[in-house]
Amino acid sequence: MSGVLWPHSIWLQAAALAGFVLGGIYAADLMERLLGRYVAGAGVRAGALLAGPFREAALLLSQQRSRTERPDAPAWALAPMLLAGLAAVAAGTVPLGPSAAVAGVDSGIVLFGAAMALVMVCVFLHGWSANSFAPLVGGYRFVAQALSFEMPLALVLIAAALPAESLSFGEIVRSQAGLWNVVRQPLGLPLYLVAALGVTFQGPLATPDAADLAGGTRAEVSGAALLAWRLARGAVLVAVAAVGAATFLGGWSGPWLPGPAWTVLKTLALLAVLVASRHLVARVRLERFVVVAWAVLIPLALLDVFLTGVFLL
Amino acid sequence: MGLKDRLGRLAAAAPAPVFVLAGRGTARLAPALDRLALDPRLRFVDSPRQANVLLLAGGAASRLLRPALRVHDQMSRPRGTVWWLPGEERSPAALRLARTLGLAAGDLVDPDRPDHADPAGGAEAVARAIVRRHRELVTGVRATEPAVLPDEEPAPWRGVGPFGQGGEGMMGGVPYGRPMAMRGPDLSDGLELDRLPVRLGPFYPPLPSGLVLDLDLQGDVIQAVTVGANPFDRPAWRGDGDRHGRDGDPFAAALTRPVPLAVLERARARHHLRWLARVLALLGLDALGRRVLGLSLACAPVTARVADAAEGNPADDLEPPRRAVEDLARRLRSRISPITPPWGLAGATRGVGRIARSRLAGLGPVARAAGLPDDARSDDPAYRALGFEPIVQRSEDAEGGDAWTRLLQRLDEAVQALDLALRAARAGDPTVGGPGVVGSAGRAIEGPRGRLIPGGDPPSARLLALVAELLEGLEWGDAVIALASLDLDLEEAGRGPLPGRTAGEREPRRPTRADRTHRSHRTRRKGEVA
Repeated sequence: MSGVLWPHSIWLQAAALAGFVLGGIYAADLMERLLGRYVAGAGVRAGALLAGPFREAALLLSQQRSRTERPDAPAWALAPMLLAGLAAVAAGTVPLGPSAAVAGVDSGIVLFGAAMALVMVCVFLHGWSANSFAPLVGGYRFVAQALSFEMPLALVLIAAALPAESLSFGEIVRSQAGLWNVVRQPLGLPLYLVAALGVTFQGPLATPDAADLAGGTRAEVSGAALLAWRLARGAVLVAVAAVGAATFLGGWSGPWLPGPAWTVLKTLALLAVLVASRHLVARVRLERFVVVAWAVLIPLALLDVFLTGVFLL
Repeated sequence: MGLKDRLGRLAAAAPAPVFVLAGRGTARLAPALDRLALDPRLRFVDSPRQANVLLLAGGAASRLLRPALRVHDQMSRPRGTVWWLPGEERSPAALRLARTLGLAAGDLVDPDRPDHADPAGGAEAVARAIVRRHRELVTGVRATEPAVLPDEEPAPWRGVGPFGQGGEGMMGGVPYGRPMAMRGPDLSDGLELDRLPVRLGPFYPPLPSGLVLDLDLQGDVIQAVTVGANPFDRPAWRGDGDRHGRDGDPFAAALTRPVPLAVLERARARHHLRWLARVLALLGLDALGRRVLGLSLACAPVTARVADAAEGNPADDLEPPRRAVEDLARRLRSRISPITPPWGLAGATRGVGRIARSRLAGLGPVARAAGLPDDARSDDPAYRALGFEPIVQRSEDAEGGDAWTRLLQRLDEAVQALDLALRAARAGDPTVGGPGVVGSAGRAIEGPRGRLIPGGDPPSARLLALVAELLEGLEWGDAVIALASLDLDLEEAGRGPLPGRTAGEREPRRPTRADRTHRSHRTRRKGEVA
């Protein structure tokens, strides 16, 4: 079945993955708009809602890029591209169906973790290179945030790799044939979602781009550069949600529907959770988050690894 | 049709990105500005870089002109301006500025034109002007506005210093035009780190409009603060004493003439909810903020003008917003059922912006949030007849009060104000204030920011004196929330002494030069609020 639905050519696979990521970005944007309208108590017009992301993209393309005083121009232009590249690497490790991922390497977890660690460099570069107050402080904030969520992120992925006896996402999905990790490792998904909010600077952890910095790292960006940055961030969001679906929700496995359809549905479900936080949870105080991450989240993540080991013995 | 045209048409259909600059007299434009903020055809953005249209709202205070033009030049192209300029603010200087920006007659909207007199009409006229400007810009019908100010270095540096780059040897000076970050001891542990000098304001969206802060930052921790001169400061001898009331503030109006209690309480509920909407947006909950802003508009006195509002205020429309506000207050407070959003508000605000109780006398909700039963309404017979009791936050956290108790306090007071307005409608519409009532010493009107004493300083001026001390040592995010929790209005602070006479004073006299000097000394002394 999967042979029919999952092409063997690497180019077709890459095209399918690109469609998956772009569709995910669009879906995430729609969900955010829809929930925002609902929370604001405003009406929704289907036409305006569906066209909204395209109109905004066209608007950004019609704006010129802004110029600050003595920016680090190459680094400023590089940051969104680098972030998009990391998103592509992360998305490449995700097995959409049983046959393979685009980058179906044996150590998918390591590749994904490495890509997510480098997000810190991108966001800091983006903030620092504008040579302006708010983006710089936004960059500092993200470094503090990233140093706090990286450890829990790595630990919950390791806990998921233990029963699979492999670092490949494909094996992790297969190891959940009997019982999904979300049940087997109840600490895993909640911790992963917190780290996912951190790495995509979404909702309560949108500290580098927050309203109290008038937009933070994106405060001085406009036009196509802003569009590129938002698309790259959206791609990271989709990749992180897809990895979450593979690691904790059994990936492509499920009855009736073909494998890739299950991957898409489960990814959308996690995207909805991540995006909903944008309108439901207030921005955290960064100092508090750092304390909670080191004093609570990391010990919980270690407990997750420990309990998984105990059950395996 | 080319790709460029297609893109232009698609972009023209997007909500117009607007950056708002609030000038002088915006208190009167507030209801219409809030309608614009909720208008689906527009999107208020928090950085001029992302705006196509600059909305100048109100008059051009002379000290705001240059900063406003700087914001204009920071906008990305294509850019255009719409100026919402009341007739009384159409000074020769303002019209010169309009010519400099190349504004057409259609870009200047007068809120006082008969068809714009009610806020919905004014908002609609401005919204149309903005949308038209936005569409003209993205479809290329009208050219982008050029930069107005010359592109200059912030400080001369070429050829200065031993290396010709503005520096002084290894450290110091203004390398490439900016002051160098010099070392200084950290406030918390004395560690010597670089201190970055930064000036923010008067149009930095996270700060109250008009506030200028000179900061020394280590990372995002504020090491030292200097509050800049208030750009809205008007010389006391220019203009009449009723400047507060004329600008649409019913509370100040009540110092000189009777105002229906229902009008005051509706205005109070609207004021507090408007504040809450802003704080929610600063905490990232802008969608919820929009809902609250809509509720605040529903609470407002029926028309914007105090004089018109006095003619009648049917209270039947108040029940739905009252229920909604009460529901929100209950949801925020409930600790046993944390299943309903919004989450995390307490965590983001608790412990932020504490001020010693002794400094808070007469500061209304900020004082009552700290547990002080300080409310001028307790002494007013009209309020006592309606069974008024001041609301005071009484938790162990209330020592000195923080942003969280201030949030709860204002939400509770909004519910209470709507209750009072409903009760007043049933009790024959009593009035409050007027020269007879407040003429005796000790009587005052309770404004939404605190006690209004005839001839005294407005509460915002007293709150402004607390700012520098409050911000020192805070992280930037906490500093923004702490500032917002005070509910500063620099324009109110700049209007000078409140109208009305204190007991014993025969008639308002024109202040002499000696008075003015005395006043400026007095407002500068920090302990005065206590």
